[in-house]
Amino acid sequence: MVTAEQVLLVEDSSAVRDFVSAMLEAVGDYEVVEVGNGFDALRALPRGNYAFIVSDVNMPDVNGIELTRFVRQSPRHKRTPIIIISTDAAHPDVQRALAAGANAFLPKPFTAEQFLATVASIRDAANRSVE
Amino acid sequence: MTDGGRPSSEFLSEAQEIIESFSRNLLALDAQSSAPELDPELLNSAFRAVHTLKGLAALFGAGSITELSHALESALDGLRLGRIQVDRDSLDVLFESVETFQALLAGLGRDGPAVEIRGLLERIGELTEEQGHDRPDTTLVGLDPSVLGVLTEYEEHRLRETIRLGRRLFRVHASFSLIAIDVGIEAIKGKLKTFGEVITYLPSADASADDRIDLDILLGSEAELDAIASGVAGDGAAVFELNPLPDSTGAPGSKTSDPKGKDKPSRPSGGASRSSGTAGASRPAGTSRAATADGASRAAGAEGSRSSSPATRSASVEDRVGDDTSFPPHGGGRVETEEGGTTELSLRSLSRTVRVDLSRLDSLMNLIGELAVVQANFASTLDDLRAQPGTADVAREFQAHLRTMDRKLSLLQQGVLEVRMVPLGQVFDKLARVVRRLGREADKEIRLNISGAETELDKLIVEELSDPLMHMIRNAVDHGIESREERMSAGKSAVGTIELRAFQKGNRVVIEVEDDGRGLDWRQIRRTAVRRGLVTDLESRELGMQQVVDFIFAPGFTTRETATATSGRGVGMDVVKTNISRLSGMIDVDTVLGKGTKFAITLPVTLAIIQALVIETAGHTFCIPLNSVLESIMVHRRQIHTVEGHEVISLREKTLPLLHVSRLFDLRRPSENHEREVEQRIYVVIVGLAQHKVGLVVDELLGQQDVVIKPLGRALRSVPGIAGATEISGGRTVLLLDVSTLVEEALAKPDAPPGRSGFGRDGSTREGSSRPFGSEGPSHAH
Repeated sequence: MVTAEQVLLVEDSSAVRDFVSAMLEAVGDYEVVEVGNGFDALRALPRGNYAFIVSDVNMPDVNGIELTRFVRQSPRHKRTPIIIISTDAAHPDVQRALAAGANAFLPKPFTAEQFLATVASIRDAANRSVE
Repeated sequence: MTDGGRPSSEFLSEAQEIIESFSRNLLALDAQSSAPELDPELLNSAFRAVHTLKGLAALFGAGSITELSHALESALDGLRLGRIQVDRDSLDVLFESVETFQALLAGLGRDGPAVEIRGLLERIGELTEEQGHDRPDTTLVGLDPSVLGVLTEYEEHRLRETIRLGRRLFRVHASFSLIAIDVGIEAIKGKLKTFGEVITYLPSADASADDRIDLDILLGSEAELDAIASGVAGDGAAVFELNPLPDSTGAPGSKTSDPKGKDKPSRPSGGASRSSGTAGASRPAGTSRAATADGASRAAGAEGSRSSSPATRSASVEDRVGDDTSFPPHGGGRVETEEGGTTELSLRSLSRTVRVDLSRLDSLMNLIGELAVVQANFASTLDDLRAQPGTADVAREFQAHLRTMDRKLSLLQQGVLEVRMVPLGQVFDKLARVVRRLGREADKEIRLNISGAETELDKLIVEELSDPLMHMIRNAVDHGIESREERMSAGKSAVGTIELRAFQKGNRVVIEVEDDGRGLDWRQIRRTAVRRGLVTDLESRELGMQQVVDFIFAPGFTTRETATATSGRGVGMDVVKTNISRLSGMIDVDTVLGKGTKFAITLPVTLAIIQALVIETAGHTFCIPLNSVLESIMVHRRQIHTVEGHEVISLREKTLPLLHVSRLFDLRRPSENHEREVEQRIYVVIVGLAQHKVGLVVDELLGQQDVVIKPLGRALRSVPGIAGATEISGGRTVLLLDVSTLVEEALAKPDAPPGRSGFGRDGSTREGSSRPFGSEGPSHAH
């Protein structure tokens, strides 16, 4: 039996969340765990085995950069790939998230192909670093 | 532009929500614009709203909205980072954006002229260009670079601002159980906010436990370390001061606690924090501790200063949770109560709400209505059953089940009704924008005070209220509030005030719009009414002030004469009144010349389902909304007398005008028999609100029933006196009387009751005895 890979989606707009998770579930065998803010993400982390974390940057209280830093510190998820999604690639906050340990950035809105390509490249990089 | 196709409803409703919250932020900013310092959180929220909108619009291919929010986002980014001034001009542009967003949303998926956004985009561009690019050069002393790296640009800006403004910077360390984290955070956040600005939350994994999270909160404050430490003592948080004031930049290390806190207990427990306010004997900490269950053990922990285990800390956090969610405030444990704001924890997170299309609720409502009809049919079956001999036991059982079903049905109905309820705040926000805009256009300074925005009404009513309220607000600004000079010379404050209040009163909601303007000049209104032929000069002399003022609601009273005259208030008030009547509401006006005017709208909480009194007249059945029925009485024809051609009865020493429902709608009995003619007893249903009362003459009272109101078809919509249609038991469709129009019919036009009404047998005003039944009336089964 193939179990679906879990993806944690952190995004405060519920419409965007619905859209992204519908897309992820359509392109791959993903079980998307959706949360609306950084605190809920912190709570969801210990409960799942996430293949990926897809997170917005600009969120109140715990932002995407802080979340990234947290994930990198946590023993359980420190290797979990993080894909940052944001409307503005050039924004300093995106750069900070990448500096804090996020693996990739995807501009909103993104297509299924872009997402799959990003996932593939993260996996490649991971494999290379293992070999 | 890619704004084509059908926009998804989830996009529309979320976009609408975002724009509304953006608008609220702007209004709050506007209200603060004269204050020495703006609440930075407002600007940040406004930025975030637009940022989210942009992402959303981009995803759903709403081109113009994306474009506009993109431009606006840069401007707001500049504003929140202090690179652009928050002033009237910038606020104007932001407010205009709200209107444009609304227009764009409304235009989506609809054919029609595209909303022009170029002009607005240019103005936003001008704003954005203004911004300086110089970065403040405050050194961030005493901060771990790894901390700095995870702040967003905005958070970093707030951090720099904190230092620039000479505030202290604190690191508040707390540990939370994951399960309770949002409640715990809300509690501590509320307390910290009373001390200053929470810049960010830095989570870090607690190596010792998977189900706990350590949180470092950066706080900018002018308060002393001790004060903050004792303020958050109950939450098991430790407080460290991070930076010296900028003047003493010389030796960053000397007075500064190491951010890692190495010079203090390195893993401060709840207990340590309380003593870390090494003010040691700080009082609030003491009271707070004593109030909690494990007070003693934690007090001991405080003394021991570093001995409390994670478990103890966990207990302290959970205590707080229990305290805040399940129990009423008690004793000293609620130190935060006095600080305000923190007692109301937002336990409802946004993600726990579901948006539902109103039409789905309508169909549920209809179903419930149909069930109510089935229920009523059961009841009549029960009556039939009882009539059969030897069925007493079955009938009793049947009745018990019926009663249970009745209860559940009303619970179900109540439940669906509650789902339809929305706070009036949605409309009030819109009105606040209007006041701001109109005030500026008219060059009047106006303060709008809103209260009761949380009052809930049926969504449908709230929607329908928007236009009438807008109208009234516009009148208040244009005609009610005087010019600055006029106010000054009248000895009033130069700033005009409009009060917008909502409150629940029994099963009705009252909305008041009150201004402190010039008031209505009733003499002027009387002159106009005479000139317009609404009343003869002679008649007008006999009218009381209130009756005269009520002419502003008369159709066609919208006159240029009054609009230009000092008391010009009549603009479209007849339309307002009609709209309110359609919602089964009443509007009253109360005015004092020179002091101001107050309009009060009284509305039912919901329209979807109401209790109705079912009556019969001339062989036709009608429903009367029960909430406008004061009582039903049976009178003898003898008791009716005629005063100046109007039928009236005397009721408790007061004269009550009568209206024959059959005559109002020109109904004839199916067979012109005289059975009724000889019927000497008639029923009078007394309806009305406040001082306006009218007796509706009907043949029979058929009883009370919950009815679901259905909108009228085109043919009947323009018939005055009919508010809607509904279905009653037996599957019959009957019409619902519009009481306020009927009352108006009887009162507002003194000559209205037609001359065809027969003169009473005796013209005298003899006192007649009436037999009150109370509002329930006798229910007549036929």
